[in-house]
Amino acid sequence: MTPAAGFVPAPTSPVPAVAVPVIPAPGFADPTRDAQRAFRAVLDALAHPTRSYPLAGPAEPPAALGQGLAAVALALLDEDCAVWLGGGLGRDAEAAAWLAFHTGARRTDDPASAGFVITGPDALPPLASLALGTDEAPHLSATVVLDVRGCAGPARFTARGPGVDGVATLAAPWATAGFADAWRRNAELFPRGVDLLLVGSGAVAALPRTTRLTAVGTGTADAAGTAGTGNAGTNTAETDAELEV
Amino acid sequence: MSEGPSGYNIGYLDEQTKRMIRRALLKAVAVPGFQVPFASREVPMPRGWGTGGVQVTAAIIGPDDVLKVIDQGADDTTNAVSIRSFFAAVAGVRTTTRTGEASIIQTRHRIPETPLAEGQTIVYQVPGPEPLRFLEPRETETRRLHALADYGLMYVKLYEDIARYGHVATTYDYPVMVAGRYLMAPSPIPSFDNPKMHRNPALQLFGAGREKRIYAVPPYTDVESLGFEDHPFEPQRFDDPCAICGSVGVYLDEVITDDVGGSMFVCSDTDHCERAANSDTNTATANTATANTATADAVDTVEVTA
Repeated sequence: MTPAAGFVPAPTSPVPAVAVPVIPAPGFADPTRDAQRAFRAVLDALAHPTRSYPLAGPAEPPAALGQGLAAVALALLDEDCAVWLGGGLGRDAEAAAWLAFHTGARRTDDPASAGFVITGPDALPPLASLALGTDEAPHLSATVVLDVRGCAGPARFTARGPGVDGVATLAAPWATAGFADAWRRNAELFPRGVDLLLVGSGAVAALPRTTRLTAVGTGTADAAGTAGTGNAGTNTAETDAELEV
Repeated sequence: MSEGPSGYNIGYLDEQTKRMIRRALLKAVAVPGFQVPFASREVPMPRGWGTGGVQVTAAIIGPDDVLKVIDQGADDTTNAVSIRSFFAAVAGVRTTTRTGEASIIQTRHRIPETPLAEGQTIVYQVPGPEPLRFLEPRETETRRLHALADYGLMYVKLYEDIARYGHVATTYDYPVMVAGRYLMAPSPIPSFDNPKMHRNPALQLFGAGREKRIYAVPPYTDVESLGFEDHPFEPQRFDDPCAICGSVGVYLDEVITDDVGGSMFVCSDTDHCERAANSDTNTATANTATANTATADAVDTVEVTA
C-alpha cells in the first residue's frame, strides 16, 4: 500500500494520472517544536496584521507548496479539516499526496465547504462564495491561505483595525484588481467573514476580517479616473491619496 | 511527537489537541471578544483551577519562551508555583517571576503592574466566560444576544445597581466592550485592572477550561468598560501606599497580621513589590517610592526578551 492509498480525491477533482512518488517527502524534522514555531508565526501575524513573520518549513516540501505553505499546512491541518486546493496546487498530485499523508485533511472540490482554502491569487474564488460563518458562529468561516510567492502587482494599502497601532502600510503584490472591493465587502460582514493568511516561501503575514484596507495611489494611469468617487465612506483624516480599486 | 523532559509530549497535550486549540485561537484573534468553543481536555488539575489557561499556554508555548505565572498577582502562591513547575517539567521552558522578562504570562485574576510590552502574551484563566450568564441562563439565548449585539440586559443590570446603591456594585469581572462589538468578561480581574486592557500592546488570550471557550483581544484593540454618560466607569482606587514598598497607584491586598483586628495593605503584585522595595533600599536617598517604581518599570521594559 502506498502512503497515499487512503486518500481518495473528490470524484470531479482534476487530478492528472501522473506518477506519484511512492513515499512522500518528510514533514517537519521535529514535529512538535517546528509546528509550535510555525503556529506562533501565524498567531503573531494575525495579531499584528500586515506584519511579516519568518516561517520555517520542512526541508524538502513539494514544489507546489514550498516551505511556507507546507509549514502552515503541517501546523494547522489534520483530519478534522476540510481543505480546498486551487489553481496549480489543485492539479498537483505530489502536493495532494503529501498533504494527505502528513495531515490527513479531507480534500473537498467545493470551496464553499472548506475550512481552509489554499490557493494562489489567480485561482482565488470570490471571497463571498466561501464559508463566512454565521452571526452566532462566526468562527466557522474559511481561512484563506494565499500563496503569494512570485507575485509582482503594484497594489499598496493602508491598514487599520485591531492589532494595528494606528495605521500600517501593506505592499500587496498579490492583490488582484477587484481585491480591495471584495475585502471591503468581507469586512462589512463582521463578525462573519473570511481571514487571510499571506504565505511566501519563508514568511507569513495575515489580514483578519477586522482589518480595514484603503488603497494607496500608485501613480498609475487609472488612479485619476476613480479618485473622485471613492471617498464617501473613508476616514477624512487620511492624508494619502485614497481611491476605491 | 517529541518527548519532553518529563516523558510526556512537549507541552503535555498531544499534537492533535494542540492543533484544535491553535485553530480556535486563530479564529479568536480574528473575531476579538467572541467566545470560540473548543474541546477542552483533561489536564492534571481540577476544572476551575486554571485548566483553560493551562491548555492555551500549552498550545502556544515553545522552547524560546520564558513563562511567568501569577495567582492574584502573586508568583509564590500554590496555583502559580504548581503551574510554573508543571510547564518547566513538561515543556522544558525557562520560568521567571519578573514581568519584564517573561514572553508568556499566565494569570489568575490580575494584570501585572509593570506595563506589558509588544511581543508579550498574557493568558487569562477564566472561570465564567459568558458575561450575560447570570442575566440569561440559556446558552442558546446568550449566543443569540451576542449575534444581535443586544446587550440591553447588561445595561439594565448596571442601571439597577446605580438605582439601588448609587454606583455600579461590580468590583471584579467588570464587563467590557471589545472593539465596539462584543461584550466580554475580562475574567475576575479587579476593575482596577480594566483600563490596562485598553489598547494594550500585548496579545491577550483567555481560556475557560470547564466552560470550553477560548477568546482573545489582539494588541492595540479598544476595550471599553461599560458605563453611562452620567455614571461613567470608575475603577477602584486606593488612598494609602503599599505598607512594604510604598508604591502608590497599585492594587493592594489586605493582609491580616494578628488576631485582634490588625491588618496591613500591601501590593498584590509580588514582583512589582519586591523590585520597588529593593530599589528603595538601594537608593535610600531623597527619591520617593513612586519615582523608584517608575525607574524599575523603565528598566524592565528594556529587558523584554520576547
